Amino acid sequence: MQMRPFLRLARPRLRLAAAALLLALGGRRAGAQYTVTQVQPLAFGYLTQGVTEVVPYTDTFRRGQVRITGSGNAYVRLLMPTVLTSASGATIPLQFLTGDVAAVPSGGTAQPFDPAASTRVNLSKGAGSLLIGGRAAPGVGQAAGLYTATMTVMVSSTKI
Amino acid sequence: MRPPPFVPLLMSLALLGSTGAGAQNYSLNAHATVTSSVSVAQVASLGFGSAAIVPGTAITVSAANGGKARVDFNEPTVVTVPAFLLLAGPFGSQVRVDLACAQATTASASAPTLFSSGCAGGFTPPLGGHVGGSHYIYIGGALSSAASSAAPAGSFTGSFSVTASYVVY
Repeated sequence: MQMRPFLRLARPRLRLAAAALLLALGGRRAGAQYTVTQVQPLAFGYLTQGVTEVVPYTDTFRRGQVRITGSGNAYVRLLMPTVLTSASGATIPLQFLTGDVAAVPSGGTAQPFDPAASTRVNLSKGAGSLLIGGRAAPGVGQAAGLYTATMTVMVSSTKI
Repeated sequence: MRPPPFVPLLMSLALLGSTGAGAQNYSLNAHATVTSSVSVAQVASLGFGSAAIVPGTAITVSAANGGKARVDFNEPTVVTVPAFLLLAGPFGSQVRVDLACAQATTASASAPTLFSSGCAGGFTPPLGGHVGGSHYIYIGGALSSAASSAAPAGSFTGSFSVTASYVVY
């Protein structure tokens, strides 16, 4: 089958365009680097069986805190665990409601947001922070011991 | 004129690239400690009955009909009881009573399960589905004929502890 003249001409251009696009994407990644460091973990402390423990984001000792450095605006999304888990596999349900977490833009004040949605943090004046509270609800017969969970902080230059 | 086929492809690639380009993930920890909640309460005393023990005869009270203690727990807890105790009687006399221990999940078991390693070896009530609960310890006793033959007439009493050992959180 004979190739149409237009495509025959376009093939080298297509390769060039693809290469240019990859370079452009690479450049975009390099320009959107953020650093997130854990200042302190979210610590519910000692829990009593059957008593829900609430850590507000204003609790300076127990709240989780991360520091975000970068430039411009950062879009932040949190992927929250649903349970704390012990070494033996026992679990404690967790809840993160609107107002349990807050974002602090550089040079600004804490702004609570819905942890199920993303939020924008302005980093133009320096580092920003996330303040993370939450609720842990141990059962009446909750087994004693240490429980842990991991949450994920996603940071992007574009809305996520 | 139709656009060349690679143009929509390039546009799609550019779109994908712009939405996912800068996303980075980081981990943050959360932790808690559930406090220990273990207690032992006496439910019934171990007694050999109101009838007098005839010197030189042995007498036994089965675990099911003896003393009883309730253990409430929210973590693995080893419950132990001494292997024997000495009852104190008149004129500073003592008689030895050997103990037999058993366990059950209810307070009125007719045939509680004996501790496999004896009273001192202990028993660990299991957590059911990672949840604590309650368990009952039954304690019987045996007075040998030799011990009773040497004992003076009178009342003999003593006490022993039911001990729950656990990791404190």
